[in-house]
Amino acid sequence: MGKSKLDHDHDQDHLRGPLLMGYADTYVKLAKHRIIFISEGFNDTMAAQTSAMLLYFDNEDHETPIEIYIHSNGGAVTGLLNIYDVMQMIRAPIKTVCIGKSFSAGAVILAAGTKGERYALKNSRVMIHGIQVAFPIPGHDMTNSKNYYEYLMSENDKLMKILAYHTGHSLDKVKEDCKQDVWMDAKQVLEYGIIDHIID
Amino acid sequence: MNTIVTETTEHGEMPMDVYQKLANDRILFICDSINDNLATDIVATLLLKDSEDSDKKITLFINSQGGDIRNTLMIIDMMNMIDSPIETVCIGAAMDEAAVILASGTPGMRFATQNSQIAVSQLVNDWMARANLTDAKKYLDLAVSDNKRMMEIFSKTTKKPLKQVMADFDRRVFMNASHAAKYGIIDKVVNVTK
Repeated sequence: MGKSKLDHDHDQDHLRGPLLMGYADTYVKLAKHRIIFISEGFNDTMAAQTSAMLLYFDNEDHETPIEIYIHSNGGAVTGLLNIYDVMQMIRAPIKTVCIGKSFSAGAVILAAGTKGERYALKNSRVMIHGIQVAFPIPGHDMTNSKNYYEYLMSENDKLMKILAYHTGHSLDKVKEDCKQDVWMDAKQVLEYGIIDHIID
Repeated sequence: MNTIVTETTEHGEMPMDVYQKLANDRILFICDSINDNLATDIVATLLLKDSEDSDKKITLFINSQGGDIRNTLMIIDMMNMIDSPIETVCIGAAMDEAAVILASGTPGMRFATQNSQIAVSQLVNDWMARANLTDAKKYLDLAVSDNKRMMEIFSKTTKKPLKQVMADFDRRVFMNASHAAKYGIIDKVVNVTK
């Protein structure tokens, strides 16, 4: 996931692969402490990697919390729902921390952490909205366009239900709010119920 | 491709574009996908030729895979607006939007050459915009109403009920010239065999 490298630390000799290369990736070291970074757009590859990490950590120890640090612009809904479902499935508690920004899909992951374990840094920003699409798809006739729109609506409903469930708001309120982009700073996010604590 | 030919006039040898020359004789070509440029040229020429003489027919030769629905409806509106009778002749193929133009010629003056192919389907999107779902619904509604408009034109020109036309063209239908004549999209097949 990450690219940054640190000089080799001899206390980390168990990291065989990175050791052979003479350095250990920062994110590999963080993974040792059950920390996952979501720092890119949501797509299928990244979602598969993230859910694999979650499953692995849960299998290793399902009592210690797993931490997800989020700094993301959001992305594909399929990727988001993949990660979300795995988060809900595993037994280990999940601590989510917004560092910098959690937009769109990132905000849903932030809200989906274990209740009471959702944090945001003081100056971080969050944005929530409904599904954004490129529409209509060229080459689709009217029948397909209508079906695709129905599908998008159902996906959007799913998302809104998730947000409503984790923020404690009514579905109608979330649906109404998410008709446009809602930008929030840490304090407003706390008020909206997406996080439980601000890290000062 | 060079379309310039020389012509001897009283001023001597003059270069002349074939299409321009044909346009002077009230023959226009819709032989490309129906885009902004083509549609504007056609509409401008229709207006010009109509203003010169509104009793003589204008001929549209059509060989097109279709194109933009907005431009198509613009051409059809203009065809209906001017007084000159409009003869439409399908040479090669008239697909989707092009078939609507073919069918919109003056009744009794819609032709297709023997080997031409005509295809009709419901509207197929050819554009895309980034939107939230509220706006996406509006785009969908727009496309659906364009589709309905297209089918209404077919219903009017083929003298068939709208319901039947919509059912018939729910999936793409390919027709040869004689099928199209039977359905009422054209009036007569032009025999070109010698």
